[in-house]
This record gives sequence, structure tokens and C-alpha cells, in this order.
Amino acid sequence: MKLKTYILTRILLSIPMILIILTIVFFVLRVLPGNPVLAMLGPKAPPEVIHAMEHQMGLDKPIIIQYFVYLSHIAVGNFGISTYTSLPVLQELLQKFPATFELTLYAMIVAVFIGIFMGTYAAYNFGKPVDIFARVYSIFVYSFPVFWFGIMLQLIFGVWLHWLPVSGRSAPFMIPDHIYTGIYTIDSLLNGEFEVFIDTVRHLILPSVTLGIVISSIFVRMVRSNVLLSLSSQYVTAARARGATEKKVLFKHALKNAMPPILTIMGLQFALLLAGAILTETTFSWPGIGNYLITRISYRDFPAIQGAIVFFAFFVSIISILVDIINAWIDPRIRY
Amino acid sequence: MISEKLGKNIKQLIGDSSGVMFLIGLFLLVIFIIMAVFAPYIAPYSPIKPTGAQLLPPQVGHIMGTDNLGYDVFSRVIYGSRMAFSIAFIATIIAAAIGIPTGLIVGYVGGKLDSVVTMIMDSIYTFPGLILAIAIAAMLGQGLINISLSIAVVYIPTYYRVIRSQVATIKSELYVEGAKAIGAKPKTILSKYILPNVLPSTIVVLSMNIADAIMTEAGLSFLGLGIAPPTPDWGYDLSKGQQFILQNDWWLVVFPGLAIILIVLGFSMFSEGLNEYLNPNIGEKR
Amino acid sequence: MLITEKLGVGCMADNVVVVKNLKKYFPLKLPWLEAFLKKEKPMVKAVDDLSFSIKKGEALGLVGESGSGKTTVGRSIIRLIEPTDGKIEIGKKNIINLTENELRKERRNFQIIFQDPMASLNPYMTIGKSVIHPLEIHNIGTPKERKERVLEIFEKVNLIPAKEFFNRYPKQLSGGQRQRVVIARAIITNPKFIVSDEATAMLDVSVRSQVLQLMLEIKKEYDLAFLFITHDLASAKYICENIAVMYLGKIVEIAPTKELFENPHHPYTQILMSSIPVPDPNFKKKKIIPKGEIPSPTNMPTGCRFRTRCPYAKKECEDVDMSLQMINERHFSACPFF
Repeated sequence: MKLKTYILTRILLSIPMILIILTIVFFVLRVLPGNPVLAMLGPKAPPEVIHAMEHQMGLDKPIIIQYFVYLSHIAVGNFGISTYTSLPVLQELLQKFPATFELTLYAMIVAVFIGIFMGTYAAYNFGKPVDIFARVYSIFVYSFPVFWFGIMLQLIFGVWLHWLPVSGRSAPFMIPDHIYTGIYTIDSLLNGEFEVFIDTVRHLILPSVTLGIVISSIFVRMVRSNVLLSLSSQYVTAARARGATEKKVLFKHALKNAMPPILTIMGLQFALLLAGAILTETTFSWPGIGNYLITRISYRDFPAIQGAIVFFAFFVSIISILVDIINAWIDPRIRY
Repeated sequence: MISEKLGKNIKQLIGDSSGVMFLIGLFLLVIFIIMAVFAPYIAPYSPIKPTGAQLLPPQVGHIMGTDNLGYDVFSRVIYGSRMAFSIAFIATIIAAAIGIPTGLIVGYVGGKLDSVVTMIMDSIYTFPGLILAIAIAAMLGQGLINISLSIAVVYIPTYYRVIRSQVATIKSELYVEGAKAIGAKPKTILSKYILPNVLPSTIVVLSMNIADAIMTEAGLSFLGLGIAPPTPDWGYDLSKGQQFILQNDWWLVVFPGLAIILIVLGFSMFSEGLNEYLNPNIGEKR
Repeated sequence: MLITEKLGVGCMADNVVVVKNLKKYFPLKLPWLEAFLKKEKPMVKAVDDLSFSIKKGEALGLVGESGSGKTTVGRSIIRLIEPTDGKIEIGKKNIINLTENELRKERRNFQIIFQDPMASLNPYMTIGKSVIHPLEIHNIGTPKERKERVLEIFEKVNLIPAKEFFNRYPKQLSGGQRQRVVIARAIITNPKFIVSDEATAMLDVSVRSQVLQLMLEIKKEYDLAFLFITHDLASAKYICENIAVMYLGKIVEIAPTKELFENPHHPYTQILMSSIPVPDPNFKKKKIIPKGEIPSPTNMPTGCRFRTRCPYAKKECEDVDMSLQMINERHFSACPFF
């Protein structure tokens, strides 16, 4: 299969997946007990007001019509109007998205960095203390609740040592002048605002390290077992026989051949990363989509809740498509 | 005789690291089960009656301190295990009760039904579980059953996938064909020939799943979507405690968190060891 | 159709199994785009128009290389896989027309013994339970009678002491013992017909002859019709009254065992014969070696399917149909030139 055909097939295949998730979200938010209007207005609201609200939100129509209206609105990017701020939900989401993206991006870098180094060294020193440490680390860290670990880091580095700020994305007035990407570490550098950059990084360290370390446990395990597998394979033996240095054997041959499955796992862990991001954002008052979702749940802002979840659904699908395509590009065997 | 056998088994278990893991996990679980069952006898105070003294650091009488409302943290940690266990068990049972039969039947029938159901399950599986649970919990509201349900939905695909893929392999085994050849009904084939063969790996998934469910529950209640206060719940207590860390009241967050870690650790180690023991050839899957 | 009638001349009443024009085609798997565009799905003709009959107390050997479709024949005549077309009668009952439910009830009358005895037994069932299960399914006897019957059968197949074996699990048995269990399970409902699908192929040589001996005994004792599927002509010779040689979904030759060994007609049969080791070192046999590999069933040669490997192939072979020609009253071959 050509790469183009593969990409096309992969995108086509993800359409039913997205539809299924959209349908589930619809049924969860509309069909489950719990009337959104009643929830918004409170049980004491007069019936006329409730009816008017239901009519305004289209809730008085048959459920199947509501379903298609919902799908067609999403198809054209109409995520509805927030009942809390009266702003279009999509606009709010797009404004919050860069914060979530920045957090998950750096968390992923932390996780991959730890995963590759610890995993590779553990595999290379199989059975030695380094390996045992790596295994204990991955079991322990996996059982850390993200939010608890975050609070602990806040306590240690924020409250006790006073090294880093404990919450938020930036100090007051420390926002880049010009927003290009919404990713502050990039924007501040583009603007040449060094102080803003430092402030951004200081705010970013705790949340991204929290999330990154918790996710890293899976990477350590995966990298370790994949490198172990490729270390015992014939091409590594052959490379050694040719007199390649151990460092070269490890990083050039063993790790390189262990890479494609690691990439796949990375893609799969993305869902976990996003779930972790919601908790991390809440823990650190990080103004991303997760924080937005949780805040709006407490305000019973249903268009916003629905919009945020749908947004996550698209985000996950796009990432998984991208990971699959990158994988297929690196390793042509996958296409068949 | 029995003690001799037991000794041999324990020796065998300690021989490799997964055995040690299994025993440590088992030990942790037993402690938490004792805590949950005998909570009223272990806890020095009622978890929902203020003791009068607020925000006391750990000291004699309050070994884990008290919180801003004057509740004894140690008592709340003890009682919290009840909530963790009940929600995790109910959620796991609901998920297994739906996921396992679906996987069995769909895996056995195969064909178009298989493609459709598998696609639906895969879609849920790839979607971040916590976000789905948040959505359902936000709609259903607080409460033991509601939270258990929201968590259960997330884990149905886990059971479905494990069972379905195993059934798909086992159904082409000769002994299943043999059962067909002696005239066994599909129901009999599923219950007597296929189910016993998928059960060992199901038990492992079940016990790993409880760990995940406890984690998800803690997350939900941390986000304020769990059990209505003042019922003791580790996740909720953590989120309350976080409000006081700036004034260095660390005991409010350290102890409930440790409880979550230890119980999750217990279940993970236990199931990891169980996995090695029941499915020695399957190896690392998670 | 013609052939079956001829084969059973004069004694139709004795036929336990009659198979006419059996066909089993498998659709070929294609990539989704191609499958979507192509209207006519290509088929693999695993079994193509096969006819034969087996009398009470007699065994028909079905001999062929792997890939010849012999296993598919065994499974489709007892509808473990659904045949594409054809007529199958077992004990005067038309098997093809039965509904799922009727078929299940009818299954007590015909059984199958598979190649791998370990895989044919449920690892989580004691062998006693495995063997008692057919009786439970078909509601034969009281629980006490069932158990007695199982113990009796265990003794017959030489699983002694039967009571001890009853509670063992398959993994506690040797390969030969397991196959005895499978045979016990096959005969417990007093069937009329048994398919043996390479039942001895995985056993050690020493055990193999014992199991063959056992099969011969039960065949005699229960007056069973046997379809003995094998790639080993020597075992077929030991058990079977008649032998059919299969190649790529077709029977190329069918004859009484003695006749076939003394006077093999089809080139393929001759090749198979010449590959049997002979214990006499002084005996010099003319070895005929087939050319090349067995062709893929997706890409079958036209005309005679064997012509690509036949040492005597000629131009005309490209358009012969492979219908069986009569050599004598009970001997038929698909090669018109030999």
C-alpha cells in the first residue's frame, strides 16, 4: 500500500470512530437522567421559563432530530453558546487549547526522556541494581495519583523550598505581548521577552514534570522490554561481532529497532496523558481545557461541557491518526 | 502435608521477583481489607463528627492530625477505604457483568456483529476513560451507584477486548470443534468449553481493573464529582486538603494520598504476580 | 453420481455413508478496496465434486498430501463446516437438509477423531467428564448408567484402571492415552460412522500401531463405517477395505485396497506408492519422483490438475476433465491416458 492510500484509509477509518464517540457523548448528555435546563435553572424555576429555555436550546424537539441537529452543528464547527459567559464555546475552547497543548507537549517530552534513558539503561544492565530501580520506579510511579503527586511537588518546591510558583500559567503581567501560537514558551521567545520566558518556564516546570513523571512509568516499562528484545536479537549480535562500540550498539542498533513499538505506545498513552492533563490542570489551576471543563461542570454550563468533551474526542483522534501515519512512514511493514 | 505443600509454594513464590511482588501485594490488600471491614473498631473517632480541634498537626491522640472542620484525618483515612473498595468493586462487577458476556457472545458469533461491536468498544477504549467518566458523572450527579456506573462504562471495553480476542482464538481450537461434533449447543460450548479457558486471564484483568477503578474514583472525587461530603473519601479529602498546603498543613494531603498509592500498589502487585502465576506465557501486556 | 452407484452395485442397502458431488469452495480474502470493486469473488475450490460411499463395517481410506482437501472433506461431510453443494446421507438420513437443532441431535450417529489429541480435549475438563459429556448432551441413560458406560468404554480402549483415569486431566496423560480418550468419546454414543482425521499422525511410531490396532478392533466390534483420512498409505492399507486417492480437491483414483496396491493406475497413485519405504533391502523399486511443488489451490492448472507435476504429462492433459474412468467394476481412475 502506498503511504497516500494508507493515510486515506486511516482517515476514513477514523470517521466511524469519531461518530461513535460523538453519539455516546450525545446520549450521555441528553438521554441520561438529569435535565440540563432544570439543572441550570434550579428546581424552583417557573414552568414557562423552563419551556422557553428548552425551546431555545432545541430540547423540545424529538430526540432523533436533536441528534442530527447536534451532528450537523458540530460538522460546521458550531459548538453552541456558553450559558455562563454567552460566548461561542468553540472560541473559548480555541483560546484555552494552547495552554493544554503546551502542558501535554512538555509532559510528553519529560516522559519520553525519562522513558528512553531509564528504559534503555535498565535493559542494558538487565538484573543489576539500575534495572531493579527502574522496575520499582515504574511500579511505584504508576500508582501515584497525578493530583497527589502534583500537590506533593507544590508542597516541596513551592511551599518548603520557595523555588517555583505553585499554580497558574504565569505571574501577573508576565504574558507575551504578541500571541502567535498561544504557546507562551514559544511566543515569549519570538517576542524576545526573556523575562516572560523565564517566568513561563518556572510556571511550567511543576505541572509538566508532575504529569510527565506519572506517565513515564509506562514508557520505562515499554522501552525496557523492547530494548531487551532487540538486544537479544541477531542484528545486535552481528553489530557486536563487527566490533561496534557498546554505546553504538545500544543507541544506534538496539534502541533504533525498538523505536516503532515505542511510538505506537506513545500514541496509545496519549489518551492517558489527556486524562492526566485534566487532573494536573485542576491541581495547578492551569487555564486549559481540562480546567475549563471542570469549572463549567460546576456552573452546569452544558454547551461548554459538551463542547469540551467533543473537542477532546477530536484531539485524541487526530493525534492517533498522526501517530499511525508517522509509524507507517517510519516502518513500511505497518501499512500491510 | 498441607503445610509442607504451602511451604513449597511460598518458597517457589519467593524464588523469583514476581512471587515477592505477589506476596507484598497480598499483604497490602489484606491490611486494607481489615481496615475497611473493622473500620469502626480501628478508627479512634467518628469520621463525620468534628472532634473540636481544627487543623492540628499529627500528635498523640490525632496521629495524622485534624482537618479544617476538626475531623480526625486518621479516622477518615480508615473509613475512606470503605468507599474506595465499594465503588471499585461495584464498578468492576458492573463492567465485568456487561463486558464479559458481550465479549463471549460476540467473539463466538463473529462476522458482522463482531466488526460493529468491536468498533464501538474500540472507540470507547481509545477515548480517555477519565473524561468519559467525568461526562457521565457530571450528568448523573454524586452518589455511590452513579459514580460506580460512570467508572464501569469506561472499563466495559477492557473486558470485552480481552475476552473477545481470547474467544476468537479458542473457538478455533480442536476441542471446541470436538464439542460441536458431539452435538453440544452453543450455550454449552460457551459455558463449558470456552469460558473456563478464558477465565484465568479474566481474573487478572479483574484485579488490575480494581486498581484502575480506585484511581479513577479518586480522580473523580478530587474533581468534586464523587461522593457527597462529609462521607470520607480519599480523593475528596485531598482536594479539600490542597486548599491548606500554602499554610503548610501537609498532613491533610500526605496521608489520604499514601492510602490511595498503597491500595493501588497492592492491587497492581497482586495482579502482576497473579498474572505470572496464571498465564506464565502471556508476559508483559500492559 | 454415476460412480457411487457403480461402486455400490448390488448392495446399496449396506451403504452407511453416501456422498454425492460434494463441493466446498472458500471465498478468497482480498484487500478491502479490491473486494469492493470486484463483483465476482474468486473462490478456492478445496473440495471439487467428490462422490463416494462407505458400507457398514468398512473403512474408506482418503489419502493425499497436505493441501489436497482431504481434511475439508472429513469436516464437511459431518457439517462441521458447511459444504457448498452436494448430497450427504449418513445412515439413510439426509444430512444436508437438517436444521441446526436436528443436526445436533443427529450427531450421536457420527463422530470425528482429530489429529492432535491434546488439542481435542478441553484442558479444564477431566477426561471422564469429557467422555461422559456426549451422553449428557444426548440424554442417554441415567447419571449412574452413564458413568458405568464410560468406565466400560475406558476398559475397552485400554485406559486401565478406568476409575483412576476418570478423574485425570488431559495434561496428565501420554499422547497415546489421550487419543484413546478421544476414541472413547467418539464411540460412547454408539455411532454408525466415524471420521478419523489423521488420527495417528502425531503419535510416536510404537504408539501409532497400538492405536491403529484399537481402531481396527472398535470398527469390527461396532460394525462401524470409517472414513480414514491420512497421508500415510501404509496405515490406510492396515485399516481400510477401500482407498481413495485425492489430489487438489479431486479424487484421482478409488479402488479396493488390495487392487490399488497391486495395480495402481493413476500416475499420482504410483508416485505415492513408490514413496512408501519397503522393509526388504533387496527389493529394488522403481522410484518415480514428482516434479515441483503442489500448486496453489488459488491458481489451479487447467484440465488435469496433476499435469504440472506428472512425469507423463502431455499436451492433451490440458483439456481433460478429471472424471473417473472405470478400470474394472470397483476400480476407477481419473487419468484417461494411462
